[in-house]
Amino acid sequence: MPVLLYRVDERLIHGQVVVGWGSRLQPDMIVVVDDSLAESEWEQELYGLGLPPEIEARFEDVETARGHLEEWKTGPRRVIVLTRDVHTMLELAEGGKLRGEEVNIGGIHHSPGRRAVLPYVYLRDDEERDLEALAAEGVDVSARDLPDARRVTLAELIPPERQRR
Amino acid sequence: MNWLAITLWGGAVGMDATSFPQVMVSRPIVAAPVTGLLLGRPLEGVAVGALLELFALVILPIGAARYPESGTAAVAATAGYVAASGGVQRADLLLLAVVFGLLWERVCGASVNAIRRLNERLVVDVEGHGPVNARRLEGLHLAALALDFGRAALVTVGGAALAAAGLGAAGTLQGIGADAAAGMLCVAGAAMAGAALSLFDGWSGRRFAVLLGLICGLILSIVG
Amino acid sequence: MLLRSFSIQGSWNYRTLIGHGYAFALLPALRAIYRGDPEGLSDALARHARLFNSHPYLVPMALGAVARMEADGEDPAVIERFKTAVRGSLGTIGDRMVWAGWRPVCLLFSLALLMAGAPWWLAIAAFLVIYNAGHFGLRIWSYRLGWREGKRVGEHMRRSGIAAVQRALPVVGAFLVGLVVPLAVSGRHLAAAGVGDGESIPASWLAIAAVAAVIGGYFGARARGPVVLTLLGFSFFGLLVRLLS
Repeated sequence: MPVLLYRVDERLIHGQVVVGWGSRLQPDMIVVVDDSLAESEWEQELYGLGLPPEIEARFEDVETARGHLEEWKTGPRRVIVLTRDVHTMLELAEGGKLRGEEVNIGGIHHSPGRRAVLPYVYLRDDEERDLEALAAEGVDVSARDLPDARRVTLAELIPPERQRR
Repeated sequence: MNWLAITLWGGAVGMDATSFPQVMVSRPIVAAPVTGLLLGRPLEGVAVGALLELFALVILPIGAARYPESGTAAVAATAGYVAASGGVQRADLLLLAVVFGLLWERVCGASVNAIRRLNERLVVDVEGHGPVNARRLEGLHLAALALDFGRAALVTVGGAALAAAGLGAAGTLQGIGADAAAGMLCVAGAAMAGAALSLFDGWSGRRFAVLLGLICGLILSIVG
Repeated sequence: MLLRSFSIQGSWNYRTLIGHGYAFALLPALRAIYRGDPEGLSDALARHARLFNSHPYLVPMALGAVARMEADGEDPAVIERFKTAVRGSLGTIGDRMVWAGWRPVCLLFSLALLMAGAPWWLAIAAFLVIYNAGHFGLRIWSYRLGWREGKRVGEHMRRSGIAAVQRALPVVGAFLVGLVVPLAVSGRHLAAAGVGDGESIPASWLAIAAVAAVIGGYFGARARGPVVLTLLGFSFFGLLVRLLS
């Protein structure tokens, strides 16, 4: 079974992922790729609390996760991969590791320096560059908070005058 | 009719739903009978409250942009029903009161959204990076609470006046008739009671528990 | 602080959600910790008035834990990470356990009492007392746990009985739905309120009600809209016919 969903969401494991996408995709495992979280046991405990018992949570740093990607893509378990920001997803994808896969932008919220793109997506300039770099790695990038919501393509996320390519 | 009591009670009910203290006097099954009690006709309140509660059960405050506010609407519908029925319960009027409650709860829900947008303006200068004055933060929070009370009182008393006038006018017509209205309310209540099963994973997941309940319920409804 | 937590959603807004209310509830603790340090207090408030969300009944856990961390002089960055980590989980647990579990279970119990012939005031009092015993219990328990464990609260929550409660509630709820459906089909919600003066509803209506309950059970919450529209349609149709004749 392939990886069901690659998602960038600041909130990581929370209602939209567990209930919204979880009830549709029926995952067995949610992998959070985040260098600092991978070392912080108390934070892992907190994130894991919201999960129903049948879903396993795993926390890995980028290097380890890159090593496991092939295994997840071809293994029997149904996997959701989450990162907190676009940059981490790009690190995961570098060298064509996610070629042909779809990456879902699910929630990047307001903070100073970020521009409103969608009600649930705010982007800094460098994050726009990272999204384009992701696309250049052969990844299909789009935004969608919930499975039934409209899929917003990369071209709509970054208006033409801001695109580098 | 005791308009002052309705206004204050409506304010308290609306506030309880989200702001303070969420002890669930805002549920129709509580809010409506207490309204009836305030007006000297508790059973009218029980009739409206039980029906609106069956409709409110399936609505969970999870993951939607806006929700109907059933508590304040139940107060308004009860007040209208008591005013129009004149001391005798009439199923045809009860049906209209319930329908009014189900429509008015959308108006009340919209007023909640409006107040939330207003709150955004109210607290916006506290959020951010400048120095924060504790007194000011407290004051704004309490102001937001008071605002919610005022909002709820307003939609309740407005709804009550509308319901009293509307039901009073429609009451002389008898609508679809008392027997048919009672039948409809029975059917609607049954449908919504059944629908509540979706809260607990539905029939396929809980067959045994549901069957056990059905047997007990059947015995109760035949014996009682 | 526990008392203030009851108003946590009082300034709910789209920008910070319950962030402002959270700072309001935490204020007594911050005032004690930053006594004689108005600048420290102001900084701490600015940090805590930012975006936050959680289930209101479980917020005391986040309040207790953060108060403990502030009192221990924990790095603000760590506190921020704690709040980020905990908000999704507390929301999910509370939604499942309270909004989709405890509350409908207590309400169905109250409706069952009412329809089974208990006095109306008893059915309502039973609901308020039982429901709020759980509500207050959850607030006090989560507050104490947060204060005692600080940022390590996650591990202790996992080991608590929450998972067992979450498994048990839907079973009880399904039983109660089963119990209430035959009572509602026979119109007990009307009889309990004295509508119709003890005259029984004709068998043809009961049959329709039974079918309606099955359809409701099949479609779940999606049945609500059509049922509301049907009631609305029939009422207006009835009034229109009377007006024209």
